[in-house]
Amino acid sequence: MILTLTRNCTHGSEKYFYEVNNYKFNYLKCAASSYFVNELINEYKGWKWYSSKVSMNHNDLSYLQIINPSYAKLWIKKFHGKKISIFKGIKYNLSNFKLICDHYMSVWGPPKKNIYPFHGDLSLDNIIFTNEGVRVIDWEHFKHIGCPWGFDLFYLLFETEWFKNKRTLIRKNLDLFGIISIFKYLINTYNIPKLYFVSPLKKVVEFIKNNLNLWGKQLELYPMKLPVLSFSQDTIQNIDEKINFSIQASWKN
Amino acid sequence: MSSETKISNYFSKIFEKKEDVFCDKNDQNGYWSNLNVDENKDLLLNAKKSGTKKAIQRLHPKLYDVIFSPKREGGLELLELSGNELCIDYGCMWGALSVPLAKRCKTVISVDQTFESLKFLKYRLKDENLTNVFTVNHNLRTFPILPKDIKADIALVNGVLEWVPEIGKVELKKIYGKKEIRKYEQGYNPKKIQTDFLVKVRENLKSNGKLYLAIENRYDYKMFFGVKDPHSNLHLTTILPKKIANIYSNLILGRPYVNWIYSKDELKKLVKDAGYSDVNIYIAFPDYRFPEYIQNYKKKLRKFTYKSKITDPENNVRVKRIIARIIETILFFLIGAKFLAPSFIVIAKK
Repeated sequence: MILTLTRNCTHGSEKYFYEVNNYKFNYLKCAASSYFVNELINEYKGWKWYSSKVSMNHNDLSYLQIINPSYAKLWIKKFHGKKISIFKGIKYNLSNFKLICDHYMSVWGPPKKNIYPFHGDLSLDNIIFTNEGVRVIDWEHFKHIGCPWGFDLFYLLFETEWFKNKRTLIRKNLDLFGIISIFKYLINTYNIPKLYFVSPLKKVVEFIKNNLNLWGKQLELYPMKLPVLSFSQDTIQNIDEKINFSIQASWKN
Repeated sequence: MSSETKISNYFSKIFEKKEDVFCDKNDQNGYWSNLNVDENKDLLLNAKKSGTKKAIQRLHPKLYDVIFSPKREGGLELLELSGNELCIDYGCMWGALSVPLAKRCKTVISVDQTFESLKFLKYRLKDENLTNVFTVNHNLRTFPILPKDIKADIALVNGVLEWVPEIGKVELKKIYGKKEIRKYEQGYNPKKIQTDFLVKVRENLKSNGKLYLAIENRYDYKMFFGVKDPHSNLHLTTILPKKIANIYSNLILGRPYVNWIYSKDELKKLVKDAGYSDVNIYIAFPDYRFPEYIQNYKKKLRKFTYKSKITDPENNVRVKRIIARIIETILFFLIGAKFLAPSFIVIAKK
């Protein structure tokens, strides 16, 4: 077994991430404090939940070794596939985002109850397009009961647009064509009630602000972990108004 | 009898116990510290009163990360620890790696020649609620060969090998880059002393025991771009032939150049000459102390990024980040010049 340290306590976490060669698992995450051992346990639970949803044997996907209450190792299998650039935005990746929506619907299902399992870091960087379909990785913030329907998916959409516009600093005038198209796709294909798409950015930001504990220490030490939080109130209002208007208009038509 | 009891019984027999630290009966004068004797006294008083983290934050904030940063532990997984190991941390200082090891392994023996550093480590262990660490105040070169039933699974020599040839008290602030005449016997050979030390370390390992050795690269690319040797604080001493480095160091500092560090092949040979087998060399960026990226030397270097500033903290010299990134991109990702990596970590078997 050959280890390569590729991330050392990034984004405020006290976890160590290694690529593994010549072993049945491809990645190793370690923690040596009880707080972050608990995060590894959560992540393992996330993998377990997810593997049941994508009909995979969870023992093939991840393996947790708790050596003592303050030291654990999580071994993870790699999904072979491609990622989409985080800076390209939704508009030029519509077909891929529709695949992500389909996957989201197959894993999380349509809105039926009040709270849903929570990924907490659903970003393009954590989505792999494999030959078998879309796969979600990095379940470190997983909570079995956590959030309202659509939270992770909406977060992904707004974060993607944030990254796309990060460099131009014109966040007030975000091109919302991609987000609106995806919302329309969800409404038309899966009959999701429109109330789920009313002021979506405000709902996402409010949920995060009201539940900061779900992200724990990492968010305290590294607030930019969730870039969506850096949208100003004006921008949030502006974006939500445009989306509301657009969705209402399409509904009328 | 548990291994802890065996160790405790044996140490009680051969060492003298002073303030809960096992001490060499014959030599308690060793000193190597970034802090002067008076600063250490002050630090200990504060650490006792308000805890180790607060004391360092208040008195020596620049040392906070050196002592407490979790990044320092990034290389330990290379040892593939199972949690049952007995480890010896040679030159443990304030426990930057002894504490992480204590969390990962069964028992740790932390050896250092500076009593004050071990006292600080004792306070730190108390703060962290760790009870599986033995502290031993001893010269590393004369540390005894342990009996068969308390041989170690892991020996840690982290940033220590280059200092092993140094003699006498080292108050780093007083001698680092400053003139202080020191006499070494004629024909003093740092390499031989380092090899002998590694042989002794090997003798204290179980038959399947492992060595973890971390050290700077003699040909670290930064040395060619104006960064000073982190040990002597002189330009080019690591790169120059040892004889010339000696003359240069004698002229400027009044003492020979003894903090020898090595290239990849030299280091591998040194470790092999000390009797180790299966020597695996890893390269660490930006250094072995706060590694952001570590890979096996045999593997093809692939592109990676890290956000830390490229600095030489001891000299406070900063190679401007953009320039450094350009140089690194050319050297490592275009040319693949792994031999110019900043630091090495060696994992070897007895």
